Amino acid sequence: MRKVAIEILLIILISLFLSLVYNAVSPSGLRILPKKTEVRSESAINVSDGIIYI
Amino acid sequence: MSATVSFIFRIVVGGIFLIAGLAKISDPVRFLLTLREFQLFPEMIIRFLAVYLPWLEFILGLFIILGILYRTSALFLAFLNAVFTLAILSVIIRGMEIDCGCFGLFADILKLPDSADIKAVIRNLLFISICLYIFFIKETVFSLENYVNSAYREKT
Repeated sequence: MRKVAIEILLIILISLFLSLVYNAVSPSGLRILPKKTEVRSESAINVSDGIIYI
Repeated sequence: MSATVSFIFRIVVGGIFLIAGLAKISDPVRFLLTLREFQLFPEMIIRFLAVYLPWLEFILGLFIILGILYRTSALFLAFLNAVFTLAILSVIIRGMEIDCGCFGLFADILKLPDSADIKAVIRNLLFISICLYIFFIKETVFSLENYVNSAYREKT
């Protein structure tokens, strides 16, 4: 029973490692964790091109 | 006789899940969309499963074919199929008509039936039976595990 449990854990770890590595390097990899959303203030002022936007 | 049957079952079931895993690894977005349609888990869990499950199927299929940790892999695959069966049954009970996502891209290429319906449930029950046969019948032929064990016994 213990042998089976250890073997299952080994299989889970091997497949987890391979899946995460492949996902990280593959161009079609998925984002697992949610992206941090940027919150912009409505009254933000941008002076990058000399024009002030409100 | 039972060792030969076990070997044939290993090749069939291992081959099916190795190919199914490869099909989903090659198109994770499609598998993600299919998992979403089941409406069973939150988004982050679905994304993790879309990345992890195909590789788990691929590794289990590979180990069963090669005969490495094949009995444990067969048991694990039987458990996985039981979970898939419950998911499909939940879809049927809720009256939804969706793809089961079992064979991914290959279902389109090979024109295989891939709906989450009663046929998929019967198919999964058949896979569970075959996997349990492989687990409970200890003898098999052409397995790396047996080869390594006999080589180790000869040395000692």
